[in-house]
Amino acid sequence: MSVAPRLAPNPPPAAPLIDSMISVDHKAIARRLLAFALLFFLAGGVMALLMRTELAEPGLQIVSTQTYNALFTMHGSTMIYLVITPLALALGLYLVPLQVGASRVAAPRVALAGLWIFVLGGLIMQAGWLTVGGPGRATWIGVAPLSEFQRTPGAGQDFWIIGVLLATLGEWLIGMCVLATALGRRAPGMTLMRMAPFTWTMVGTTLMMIFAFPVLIVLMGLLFYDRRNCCLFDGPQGPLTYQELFWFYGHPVVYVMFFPFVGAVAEVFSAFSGRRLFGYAFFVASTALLFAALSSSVWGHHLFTSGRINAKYFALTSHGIILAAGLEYFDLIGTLWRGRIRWTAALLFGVVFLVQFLIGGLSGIWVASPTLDFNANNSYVVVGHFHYTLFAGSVFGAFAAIFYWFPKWTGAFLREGLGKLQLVIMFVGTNMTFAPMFALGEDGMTRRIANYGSRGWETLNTIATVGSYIIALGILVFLVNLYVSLRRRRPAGDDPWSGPSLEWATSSPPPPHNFDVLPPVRSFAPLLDAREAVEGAPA
Amino acid sequence: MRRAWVVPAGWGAGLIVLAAVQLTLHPEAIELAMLAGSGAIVIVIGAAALVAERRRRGPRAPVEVLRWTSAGAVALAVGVCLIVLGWELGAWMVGIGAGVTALGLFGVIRETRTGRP
Amino acid sequence: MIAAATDTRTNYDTLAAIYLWVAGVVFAIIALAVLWIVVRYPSGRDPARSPSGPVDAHRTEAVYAVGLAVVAAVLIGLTFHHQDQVDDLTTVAAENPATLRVDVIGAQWQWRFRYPAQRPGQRVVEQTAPEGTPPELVVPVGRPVLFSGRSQDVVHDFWIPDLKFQRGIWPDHTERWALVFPHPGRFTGVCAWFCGLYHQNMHFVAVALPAAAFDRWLARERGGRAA
Repeated sequence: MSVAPRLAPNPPPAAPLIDSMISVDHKAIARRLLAFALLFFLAGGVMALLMRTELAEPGLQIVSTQTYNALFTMHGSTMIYLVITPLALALGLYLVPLQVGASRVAAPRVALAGLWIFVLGGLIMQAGWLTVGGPGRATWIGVAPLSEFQRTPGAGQDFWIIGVLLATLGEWLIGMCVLATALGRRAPGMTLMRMAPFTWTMVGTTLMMIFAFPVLIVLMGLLFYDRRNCCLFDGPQGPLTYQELFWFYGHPVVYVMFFPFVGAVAEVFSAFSGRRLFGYAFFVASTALLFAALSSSVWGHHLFTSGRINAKYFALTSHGIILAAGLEYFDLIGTLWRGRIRWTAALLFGVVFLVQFLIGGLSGIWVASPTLDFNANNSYVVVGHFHYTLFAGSVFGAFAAIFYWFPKWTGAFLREGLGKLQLVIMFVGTNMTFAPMFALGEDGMTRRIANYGSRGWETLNTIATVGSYIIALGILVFLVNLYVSLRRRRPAGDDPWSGPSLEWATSSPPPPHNFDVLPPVRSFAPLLDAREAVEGAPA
Repeated sequence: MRRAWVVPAGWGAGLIVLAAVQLTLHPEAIELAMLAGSGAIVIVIGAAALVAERRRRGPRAPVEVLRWTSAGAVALAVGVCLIVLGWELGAWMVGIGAGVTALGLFGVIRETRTGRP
Repeated sequence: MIAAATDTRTNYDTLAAIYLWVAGVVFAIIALAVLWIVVRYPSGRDPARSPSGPVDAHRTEAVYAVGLAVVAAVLIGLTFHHQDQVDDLTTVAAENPATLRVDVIGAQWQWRFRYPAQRPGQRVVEQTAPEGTPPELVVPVGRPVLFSGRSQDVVHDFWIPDLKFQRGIWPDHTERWALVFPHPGRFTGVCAWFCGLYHQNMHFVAVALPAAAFDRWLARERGGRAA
């Protein structure tokens, strides 16, 4: 049994509240990031409910057009920049050092700085709601020339730009620490091909972030400059250049918002099936590497309808996703195959993620074809597509991760019954909300409109609105679960699920230095190895 | 540890290959430049990791000494945000931000003198 | 060369049917696999059984990967072919000086359609309407129409859902595309790129007239009604 490198203990903190805010322990930073992401999630959710309430019937009932434009801009911006991306990074920041057997994250001060830059960026973005003209309202893309000062004046749009810039900078700093940890701080014996599946998906995630996130940071700086000093994005190439640069970030980020959750589900499947991940080598090659490389080379498909990009190339690379995703699904299902499956809330969320994300993925292949995208672009087909991948997919995957790892983070279980209730409610609500959108889009309903007039779309929109309220009910059940589980704790112990990877080889929650003793690492599922050595290998 | 550099270097090479495929399909210059450039950057990072690995003398010390908090890092973060916010609110905010950043930098330097980062 | 005028609607419907079938089959396979797992492998059914099954199956998975690549290649091939149909129509229409040309001008928040002079001395025809009222884009049935789109301010998008086609309208740039309207009728058109406050009101109506009726209309418009 190898002894993990230790961190010498320091004198106990004198002012606990302040010390908790300036702690360099990666677990504390990750918990803070998770908490802020959850708060922003609730804010973005309220914006969604306002939008859906408005859309239930044609005409304008509860908000003005100006407010609606701000709502969809801020809902999208909040969910992408301030919720799912930081949530994914928080999982990585907490778990990657543990999974590789490290005593701490690489460059912890950088991670700490990243946390607070992100938080302040998020607050500055939301501060736009307090300005006279309202917050950002030029879509989550901030598309020029619409976002230039002449067309969208006011401090709110400025705050949006600054908020996006800072939040992205903070996220990038955290991501780089996670990558450096996985590559540079692994325990002895932990070769690259013995890293846990989740860690590999974080490597793929953070590799993409290396260049994609700085491009957005620079672009936001240029946009801000343009609003003060005209006219960077004018002329024949200006607006196109803006979008080429934006989508170079904008596509990888949606995979940043996906890979960590598919990695989490891989871990969940492995734990609750009692089997190590099936086809590990293919999983690593296809998900962490091929999928990530393709994701960095498909961005032009957001511009198919411009007629001004290399459409065939981007159609080619976008269809390449079929290979990467197909292999990944094969390995995930293979992990459950002939397993001994325990139907915990985490596992159920993972299975529902698998099926729902597939709808998002298949609709993604649909719009990967320019001919089909010429109808679907900017219609509710696309809105349905990305909500199936990001909400029906990633958010359900996030709940699988939360139900699985909550005992490790807090030492207490989340209530299983409430978790399963939440799943059923959210399953119904999610599909009620987003499935009708494919029909609406195919029938010609375009996005980013508050009043869709009298085209026969009222029924489907009303169904979608009811579905959104049901989703909200499901989230409420989760909040109740959170409260009850933390108030009346059911202690979990070191390894409540018989998990495969190293984070389960220490206490719950782990001590500041992570490990007292590390088990030997001879495969990517060291705890499964240890268990099998004791019980005898599986049949 | 020894072969970590393979990951960014190899992945960056993969991006270059994907960029090269563009050449068979009438590429736009900006698209070729962005993908190939990104691949090159990632390869450089891999090379830097290789150099850092070669330069490391001996294994890491078994027991590190580390401060558990860093007020300096937080001050640095807040200062940077205030500077950027100052671009909107005015020079006065940039000044405050610069001051906080300087304090933060000073704090971090002092922290690193008393314990390894 | 295209043998007959290919309309985007037929082009789309053909490809969409194939993609929908492929998606349906894939979804069914995964759903069935999940259903099988739910039924067959829960631990409660046989608590004494240990999890079994191989750790990997490299040969099987490699064959499967090749299969996926073939599916992707087929879809890519079909996509490229149908893409060429759309592009070729534009190329052919542009090369033919007799093709009807219409300029599409987008501005916050109204459309304007111009029929430029195609012979010396012809009068330019303009179709527009007060903001809030959809202007009419009058076009012939069955013949290619070559559009040139340009914005006067921000990015807009010319979308006719019934034709399953849209194209971005950019400032300081002229984008060209050709369309064939297969049936007579009135077709809604909308702006499909968020362009600011009244984006949702930026509609137009494409009025497709039978060829003879269209020729009469255009002749009348060009013929010099008092301005």
